[in-house]
Amino acid sequence: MMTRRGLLPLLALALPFSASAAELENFTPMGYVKWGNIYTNNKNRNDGKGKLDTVIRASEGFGNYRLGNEMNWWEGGFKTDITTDTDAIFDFTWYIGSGESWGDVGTMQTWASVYNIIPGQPNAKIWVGKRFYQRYEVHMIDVKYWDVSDNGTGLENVDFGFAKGSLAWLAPESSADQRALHNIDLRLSDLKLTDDADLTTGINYVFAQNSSYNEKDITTNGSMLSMIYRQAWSMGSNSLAFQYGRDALAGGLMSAEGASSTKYNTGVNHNGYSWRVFNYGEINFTDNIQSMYSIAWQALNLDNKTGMTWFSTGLRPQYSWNEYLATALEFGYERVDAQNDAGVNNLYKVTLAQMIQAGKGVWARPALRLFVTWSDSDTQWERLNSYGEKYKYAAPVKSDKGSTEEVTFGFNFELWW
Amino acid sequence: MDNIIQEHMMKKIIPMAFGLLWLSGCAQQVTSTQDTSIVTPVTCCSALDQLPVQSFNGKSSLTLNFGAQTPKISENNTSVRAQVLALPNRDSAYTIEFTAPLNNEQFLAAQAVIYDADWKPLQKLEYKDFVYRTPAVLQSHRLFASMLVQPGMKAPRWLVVSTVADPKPDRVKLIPESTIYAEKTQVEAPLELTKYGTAGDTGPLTVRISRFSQLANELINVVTGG
Repeated sequence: MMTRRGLLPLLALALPFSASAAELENFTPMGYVKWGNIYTNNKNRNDGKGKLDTVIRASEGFGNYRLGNEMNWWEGGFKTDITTDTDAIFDFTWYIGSGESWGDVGTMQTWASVYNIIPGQPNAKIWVGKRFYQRYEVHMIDVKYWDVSDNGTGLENVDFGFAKGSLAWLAPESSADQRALHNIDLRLSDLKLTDDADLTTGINYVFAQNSSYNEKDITTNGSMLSMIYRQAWSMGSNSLAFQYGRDALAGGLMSAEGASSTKYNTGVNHNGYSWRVFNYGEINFTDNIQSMYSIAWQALNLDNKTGMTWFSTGLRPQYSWNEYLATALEFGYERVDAQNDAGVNNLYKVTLAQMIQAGKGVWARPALRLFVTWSDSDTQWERLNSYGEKYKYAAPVKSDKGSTEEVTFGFNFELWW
Repeated sequence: MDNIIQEHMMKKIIPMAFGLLWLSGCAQQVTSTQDTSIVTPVTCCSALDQLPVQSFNGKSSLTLNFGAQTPKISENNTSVRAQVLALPNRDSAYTIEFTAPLNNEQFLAAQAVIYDADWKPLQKLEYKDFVYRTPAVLQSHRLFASMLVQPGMKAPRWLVVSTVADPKPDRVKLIPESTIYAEKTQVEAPLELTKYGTAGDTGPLTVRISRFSQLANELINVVTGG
């Protein structure tokens, strides 16, 4: 909801736009913080410091069951409309973020757009800059499975009557050798199937600006087809997503623990394909009992047998004692099979959290939490290169790490504005 | 030995921490509020000065509950429920904030008028001045409005809060928490059925007097959703 804020005069003084005919409107601060501490009884973790420095998850898997299992993070900024003497409306978004260290602060978004300039398309928007771009997420496991956010330019929200169309040209870097890439993103969203269901579909095509390599079998391009079916119903909502990726985008375009570093797989031998399915949502059994759930599966089949199959399923039921007090229990299971039969990694996780939150329901925030987690992870394989070092594109090899049972506990808060 | 001590400590820390959070959540009066349910039988008063007067008693906020037991007064050939608050004496400007939370899928439709000591109206807040606000820091879905009481205003003395006979609009489209989450974290939202909150003449209304300047108040509202 866009709201005018009384801070507007103050910011108009602070920003250069006030010197021209342009005026700021709908200035909206935005931000998100999750912060706390997680202790562990695992003396082998984090050099025996007794606290987590990484999340608990299946080795070589993706995402993390996030209740009681998140690292600290903040991000914040603002967006504002800039009106001019013309009918065109510009807007500007600026957003930064970081973990615990101020030295890590980076620009997450800085982009501008203009709309109300195309006849008959008042909401069609032309944009340029670095931005979050129409990201699809499974909240419970902290996986953004269709995330092309980056520098770029595009046209979005073109109203076709039956759906909205968007075209973007994004400029990511290769995850392997950091060469400049082009990512063409074409999608059709909000395609109404019924009053309570819609479909979004799109295709990404990625190719390297410089595709010359001396080595053979180097992947220089890839594509991915995505389809998302969203269904609302009386007890909640459900989203079902299919993705098929080829070559550089086999298993790509995903932002999550274990996945963000292999979003664009050019510059290495990565020919092959992937199938990916997510089904997730929430169920409101009563006003006081709700549950999040998710099922995820990806088969990454590469010609050089370095792929894997990932499966993850979880449930987070929650009981609200009143408007502010709730108890949540999260169950998660994750399994990763190496394509070359090097082994199977898996994780079981159970977290109990007591929370004070603003209202009832699984989405109610802010939330203040105390939590305790039991987990058991078994690591049978890892990606190790010929020197025995971890390398994200290395072939799976057997590992003797074995089973680790761990109890963690701590506190955190999560809020946005 | 260390292991035994550590495990012993953990066994103590975890239940204690959960217990503390439990207790703090049960004590859910977040602001300085006071339940002022009026137990007077339903009456219909011919004049405002016949209504019982409530006081802030030095506190910053007061929650008024409007129900079947709330007295009624006549207004435009109809009757509305009304409650009277005595305003504190102040030399500087201050803001009176009104928050009607969603309660059983219903909002209280309210209006308010400031009177001087002689019951002459000085300033009016209408139902249409209320805006819908989404959940924020320990706030649920709610209608919110505020009045700025200027220092030059002639001796504001009474605040009369009353229900609205025929509120327009009579329902508010609620923005689901999942949509708020998606907007705030800039991801695509799940699809949810549309839900509404209905305007009614019963329910709670919190009246808060802000001691902060208008700018400070805006800053607070930016963070808390005020």
